[in-house]
Amino acid sequence: MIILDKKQLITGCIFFVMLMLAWYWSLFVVTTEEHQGDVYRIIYLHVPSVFTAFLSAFILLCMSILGLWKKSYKSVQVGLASAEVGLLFTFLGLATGSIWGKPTWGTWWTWDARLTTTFILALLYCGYILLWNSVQSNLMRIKVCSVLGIMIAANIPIIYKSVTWWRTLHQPPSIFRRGGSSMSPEILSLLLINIAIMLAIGIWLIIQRYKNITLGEDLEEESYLQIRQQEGG
Amino acid sequence: MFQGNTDPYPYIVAAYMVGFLSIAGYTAWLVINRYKIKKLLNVLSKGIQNETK
Repeated sequence: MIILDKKQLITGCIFFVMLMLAWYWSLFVVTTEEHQGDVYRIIYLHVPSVFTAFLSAFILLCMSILGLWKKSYKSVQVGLASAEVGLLFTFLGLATGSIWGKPTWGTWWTWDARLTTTFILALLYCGYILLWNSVQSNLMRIKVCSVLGIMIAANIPIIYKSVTWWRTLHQPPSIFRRGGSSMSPEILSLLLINIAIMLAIGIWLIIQRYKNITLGEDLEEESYLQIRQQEGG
Repeated sequence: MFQGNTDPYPYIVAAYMVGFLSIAGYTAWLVINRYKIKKLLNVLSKGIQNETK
């Protein structure tokens, strides 16, 4: 029995090896940042995780619009896969941010705008998964989950702009800002490589989760048919 | 305020451990889940084949 086909397995392994190499480079090769010292190396995990959570929300938005527009059930299945992967990476962003916060800010957690809005994003992703599982009718699932999916995506610009709209402990944007990035080219290029790899892993995980969802529904349908056959025969 | 006197290495190790375990754990869960579903689908299709025989 083949669990993952050859193509999926090879791409997964390539992304995993690339991630390990990028982490090795981030931990042992790249120069130390002059203000924060070595602890800044957490940036190579923290920022890519948050970007992947944002990408999941963007996919969720596209699928939700498609779901409402075309009434396509497939789009909410992809939406569920995106929400799960989004939750994973939001958790990772919050956890690594919290670990980074202790030595730099002196606290694990503070209810400032950036952290609170990101925490709300995690709760919204949980809400989407719960809603998806609690609604049985496919048409109703398309409607309610798509509306929630759009609301989740609406939170992303608020999270992104929270550091400029409110006074926060979190630093302002340092990659995409007017006048170019504030980072050195070496640090920035490695960060962009880490972001690209993490985004690729996020997409790979969404595809795998989507396949599991469709296979799980095939299984449900097949077992229902078999029960019907046994009852009939 | 930056706490410059803190030893950073336990924090770096902890962050990357959390990252590795989360991604590897979720991938492992997906693979196990896929294995279970495919196994059940195989059992069901074999049952249908036996009945048609």
